[in-house]
Amino acid sequence: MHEMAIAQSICDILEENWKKEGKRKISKVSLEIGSLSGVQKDCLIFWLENMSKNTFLEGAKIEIKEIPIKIKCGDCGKESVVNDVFFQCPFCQSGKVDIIGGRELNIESFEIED
Amino acid sequence: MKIKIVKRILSANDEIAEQNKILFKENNVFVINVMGCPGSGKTTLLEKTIPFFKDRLNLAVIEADIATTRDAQRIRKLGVEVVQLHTGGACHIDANMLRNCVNALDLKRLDLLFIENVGNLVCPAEFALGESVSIVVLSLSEGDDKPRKYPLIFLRSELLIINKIDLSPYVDCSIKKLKEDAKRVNHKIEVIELSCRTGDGLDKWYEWLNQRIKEVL
Repeated sequence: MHEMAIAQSICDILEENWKKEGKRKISKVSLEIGSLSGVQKDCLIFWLENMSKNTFLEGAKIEIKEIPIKIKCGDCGKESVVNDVFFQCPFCQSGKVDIIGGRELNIESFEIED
Repeated sequence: MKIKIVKRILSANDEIAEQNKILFKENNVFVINVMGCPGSGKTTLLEKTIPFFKDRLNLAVIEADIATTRDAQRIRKLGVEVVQLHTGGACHIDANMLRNCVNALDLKRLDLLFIENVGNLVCPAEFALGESVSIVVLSLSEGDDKPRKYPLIFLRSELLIINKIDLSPYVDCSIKKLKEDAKRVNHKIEVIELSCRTGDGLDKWYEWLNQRIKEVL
């Protein structure tokens, strides 16, 4: 979903930070992409690599951490990782769950050359 | 050297959505984001809803489409203010587009604002707008596998309207399965079955909306 626009947003955010850090070369970018974010990892990498050509970001390694869906049960209180969108607590089978992880779409960190 | 920022990539949209929300609250406007597939009956639902509310509340509608002014023209016939938003090819509205539209409205005078989002079960789910409530309209002719296929829009919505229930004898779509599956994705989602065409169930929708508006205004 909109990987190109998301790649653009990532570049914009990194450019702002790159300037704050005295325009030192960014060597690596770490992203967190949740399973429920709707973002396709390979597609995002494709667009990021394309957009970073001939820019401050060219050559930066792109690392993507895929975050699984995590739920917390409203009945038994236990937390668990699930991979089905029909959310159900695996401990007590309750459907009253809150999603506490898996919707992330973050730039977690970046590395600059010293 | 590693610099940790943990920055939400869509934070630019979220910040504007938050500003929109504050603006609506300050002006006491109830804003409802209506999502659904093309052809699910979003515009028809508004055509059936506006006459019920317009004598009691000051209404406006934002009609979002990629092309044409057809939906806006249909709503305009009901004698309410309509802002046509052409998304320039975008398949959803984002908070910035909404903010620009809102500049064309007199929020102080408004009580109720309908946003008819672009027909799409995927993208509108991702973009916060600053609305009071989001609903999704699904018609029986779309099939009962949509909650599993498009979970994010069901997670985003407080209400699922199952429209075109008059087609039930003619389509292979189980209302029961649709309701159950929607609740398996979002246990909090409420469901109203209706037919805009026959009027069956519309009273339950008016009651639901009325109640939600009362809680905010």
